[in-house]
Amino acid sequence: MNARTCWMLLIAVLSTACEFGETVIPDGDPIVVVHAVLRPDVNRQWILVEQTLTGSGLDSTRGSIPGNPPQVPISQALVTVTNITLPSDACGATQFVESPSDPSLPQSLGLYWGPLDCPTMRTGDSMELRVETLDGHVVFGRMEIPGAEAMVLRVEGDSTVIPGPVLLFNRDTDTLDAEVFPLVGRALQLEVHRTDSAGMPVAVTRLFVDSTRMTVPGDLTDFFAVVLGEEDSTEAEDAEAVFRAGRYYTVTLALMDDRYFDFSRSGNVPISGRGFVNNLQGGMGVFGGIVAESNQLKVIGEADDAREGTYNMRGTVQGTSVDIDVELYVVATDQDSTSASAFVDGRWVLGDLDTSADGSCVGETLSLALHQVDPNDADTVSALLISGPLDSGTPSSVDVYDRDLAVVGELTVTKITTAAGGR
Amino acid sequence: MIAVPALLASLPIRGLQSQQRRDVVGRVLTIQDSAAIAGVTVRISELGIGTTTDESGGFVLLGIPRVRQSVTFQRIGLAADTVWLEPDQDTMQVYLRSAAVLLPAVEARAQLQARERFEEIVQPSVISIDKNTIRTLPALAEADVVKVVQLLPGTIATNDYSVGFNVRGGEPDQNLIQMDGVTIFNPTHLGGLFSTFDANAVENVNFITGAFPAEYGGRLSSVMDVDIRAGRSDRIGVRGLVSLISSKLLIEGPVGGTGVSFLIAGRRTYADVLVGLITSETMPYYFYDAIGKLSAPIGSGGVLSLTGYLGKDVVDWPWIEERPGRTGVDLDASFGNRLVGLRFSHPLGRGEITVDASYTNSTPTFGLEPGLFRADNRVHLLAAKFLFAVSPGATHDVRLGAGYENYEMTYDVGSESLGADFYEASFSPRVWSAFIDDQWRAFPWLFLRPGIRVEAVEGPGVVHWAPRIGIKGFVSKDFAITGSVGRYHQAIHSMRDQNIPWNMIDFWIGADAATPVGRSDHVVLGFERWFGLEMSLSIEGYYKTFDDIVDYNLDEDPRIQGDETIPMEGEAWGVDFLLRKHLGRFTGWIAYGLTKVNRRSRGQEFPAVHDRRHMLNVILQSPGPLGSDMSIRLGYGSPLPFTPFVGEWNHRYYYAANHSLSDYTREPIASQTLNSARYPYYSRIDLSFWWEARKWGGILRPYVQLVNMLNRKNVFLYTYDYTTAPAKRSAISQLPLLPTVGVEFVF
Repeated sequence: MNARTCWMLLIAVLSTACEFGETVIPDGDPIVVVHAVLRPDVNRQWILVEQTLTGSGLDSTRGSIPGNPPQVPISQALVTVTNITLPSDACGATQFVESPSDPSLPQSLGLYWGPLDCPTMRTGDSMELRVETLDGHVVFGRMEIPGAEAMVLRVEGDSTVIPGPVLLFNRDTDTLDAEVFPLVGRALQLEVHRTDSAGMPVAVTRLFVDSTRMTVPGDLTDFFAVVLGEEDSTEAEDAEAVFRAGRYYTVTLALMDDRYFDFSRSGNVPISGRGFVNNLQGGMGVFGGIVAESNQLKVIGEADDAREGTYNMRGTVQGTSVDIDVELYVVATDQDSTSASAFVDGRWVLGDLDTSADGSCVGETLSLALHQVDPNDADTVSALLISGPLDSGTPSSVDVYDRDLAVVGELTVTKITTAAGGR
Repeated sequence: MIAVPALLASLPIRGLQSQQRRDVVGRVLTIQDSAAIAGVTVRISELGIGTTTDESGGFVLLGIPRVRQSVTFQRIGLAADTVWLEPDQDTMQVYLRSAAVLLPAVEARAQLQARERFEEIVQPSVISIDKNTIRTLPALAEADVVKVVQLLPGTIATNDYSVGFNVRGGEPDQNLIQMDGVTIFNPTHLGGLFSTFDANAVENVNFITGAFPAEYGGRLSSVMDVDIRAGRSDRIGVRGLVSLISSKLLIEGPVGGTGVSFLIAGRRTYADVLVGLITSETMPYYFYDAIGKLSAPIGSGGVLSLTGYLGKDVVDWPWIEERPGRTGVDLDASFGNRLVGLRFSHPLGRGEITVDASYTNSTPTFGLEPGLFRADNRVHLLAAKFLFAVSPGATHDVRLGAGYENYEMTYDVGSESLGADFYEASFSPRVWSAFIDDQWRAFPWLFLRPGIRVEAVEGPGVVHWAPRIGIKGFVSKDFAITGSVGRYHQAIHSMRDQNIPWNMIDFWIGADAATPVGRSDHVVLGFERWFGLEMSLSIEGYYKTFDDIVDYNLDEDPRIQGDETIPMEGEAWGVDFLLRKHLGRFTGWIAYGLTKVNRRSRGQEFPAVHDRRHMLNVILQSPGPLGSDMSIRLGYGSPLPFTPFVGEWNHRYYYAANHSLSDYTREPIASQTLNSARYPYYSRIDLSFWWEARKWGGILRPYVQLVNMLNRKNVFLYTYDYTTAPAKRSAISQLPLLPTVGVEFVF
């Protein structure tokens, strides 16, 4: 049985018990913790070195991604990774440092960066990690570089070797079928990401299996968000479906090696403090590796709401003539508000646009947040809100607002098709 | 006394000639509740013929002339009486009353069993608990067989939430728990708060804490044999109990005039129903169980009985509710046992044969539905055994037999939605066994009991010989020195992390090429002293070894079957003290156990989690205030070991899409030195009061029980916070003060 579930049930049974007798205890035993996931498909590697929490009062420093937050960073450690299959590796024993030469890289105490394209990592190569801290603790680890011949996504008769073209995916009827063909490696991890209304990437879910193939039903509810994680933990009532019609998603397939798989599948049980499968000597954490590829999904759904359909919106916004088609999907969440998502395609204020946007439909009133990045200047973005009545038989007019909720444009809305979805 | 010859009214009359002979078959029952009475001397003085009733109260008198005879029935604690056996009568059913006001029948029976065992049987470390003791001892909500066993010397329950128990240093999976001889794998409800045995249906519990005879095998540490009583054979009877969390009902009676009796008992919790009725919330848990037994006389003194059990704990929780755009997720779990056992016993010459056939299964399942996650465990056991007990001479009681056990344990963990299998394994050990055991009264003052058991285990393909010998030397008629030496094997194991103090269920695996057959050697030496008929004292020292036992391998690879366990070994020694008052106004016992238990595994030697050096239980049953019967239990346990935490870490999640870490789970870290610390000592006082009133033609027994009446906060486990400076630790308590009320009824 799932250990976390046991823990939940235990809590239920212990509802008759009470907590008492809080006492101060001596500091714990510090242990070096290493998070090192090598990526042969990425040109620069990083390793996070920290210490377990022991109650010693050391300030934990919030650092930058990746590795947020370091718990108690271990600084000035000697961190090396060596390709022991390739003694003639031009990189030699690659040293990782806290102050990389590239200033654009995130820097933080305990976060060690390797040089560009080092160490050399070929599929099947054995790599060795050595971390020596200032106080003499030494951590060793070994892993084998994974590699895949191909990664494939299949949707109801359509398939692509990824990275490939956008796949159309009906969340109400389709099942996503993901498979990696490993040369060296253990198991498959699948991630789903999307961008939010502000254009920021959002991790939707992360799943893994102990095989190289898995399926994801289109209507899967993201129950992992409820049971996993502390920083981003979700209440059961707030759990959402992984896929929502009207959105683009990025699906990433990753082939894990044995070490990273052990790190992912296991953890110390709260009640016993044991259970994590540790493959490091002298410390704990992970020295593993993965290879990954990503692909986009265009997620649609069955039309089950009269407001759904494709609308044409044209007019003038911020002095620019715009003309977009909005393929609208409505998700009724409760009586007071109805979430909606839409694919938006056409000419917008900063040029051509092909994206998805989130908003709401309350009654016949649509609100849709549109985020656009200037294709010629990534620093120039447009964030506008379309709000107004939908065409319910005759063309309607909606306003466009800027961040200060000032009206910056007006659009005429005409319903083109009465039903969205399908292929 | 009431004689009932009517049973045989339909039998042919063969003639009244005195030279004609007949075999007379009969049963002796209590007049109070038609319970079978064993050990009653049945005698026809003028013929010099006599016998003793067996466990089912049955007896056979062979070759009795067809003339009118007087038959005398006698046993300690019962009013002796004589009835006429008519010339045309071949069967008898006799009801006896308890002897005057001195002894309730059940007490007398218990006393007699204990005394008879002392006088006649070479078997140290055995304790019988009768239903009256079980019924009246204080317990949470209702009487519980296993909770009573946990109060006996040599037995340790590591916490209030556990039905599992450790006997003389053994692990919980080393206890053979049987219902009418049928093994039951997970005898718990509500994660261990309740056992599966409905106390109303229990006749007797025999508990052997070590050095058990060759007849028993398959476990290393103890045998707990729960006898389900046969139903009344005189009339329909109804009894039940209503408590705060459950109700149960038992119906028993004869089946027409066939001599067949039935008993059926059911129980269900109803917190889920009550919560649903009075609030808008849902309580997603309930359990139910049912026991049934059919008993039929067969042939001349034979009995055929069929015992069945069905029980299940059910969790049905709409964890994530369905709503538009979101598929709901239900958490469904169930843990249950089912068993059916058929027993046939029949006199054969100077002995008796008993044949058992049984099927038992345990089927824990856990799922996140629809199809997200499913973990199924199936444990099946098909067993058959044969026993022939014979007394070839005045000084020998020989028991020989054979058995076959076919285990099938499967695990299937996966996700239909994700198209993934996470873990699959199966274990199929088959155990063939044979034994012979002879209790030899070498001298009036010296009994010996040599025996040997052989077990062939298919799977690992091993054959084990297990010699055993017991000795009892009477210094006087009330004082005997006892001893026993034996070897024991166990072909199945439970996978449990010893450092988790609470296990909802056991996950069983069987011996195969990778998992060994466990082995234990027992040495027991002690004495038993009786003070009149009311009180006995036994003190036993013991030493046990544990070899080829297993510990759960936390590093197991789900793709590999055979790495689930790692080898473990160890020893235990101790002394058990039991002073028991069987009869009189005040009854009860003082049980003290001194124990030392160590284990070796993973290159370490460490005290076992149940290494409780001192355990004391004082049980007193006496008249209480306001006309009640009172039971009080005082328990003390010295500190138990545990593995403390030495820190916490952030187990981070890696995302391949952006080559970064995001989110984490903060996890505690246990010390690498196992069981290096100890909890505070444990103590608890429980109290119960029972009243009895005759109402509506039946008996009502309302009761009040106070569990942990002083509300002592016994530590169940510690939680740690190493994110603060300094680090802090808090304790989670075991059961607090829990008052419960209920009423039992008997009609």
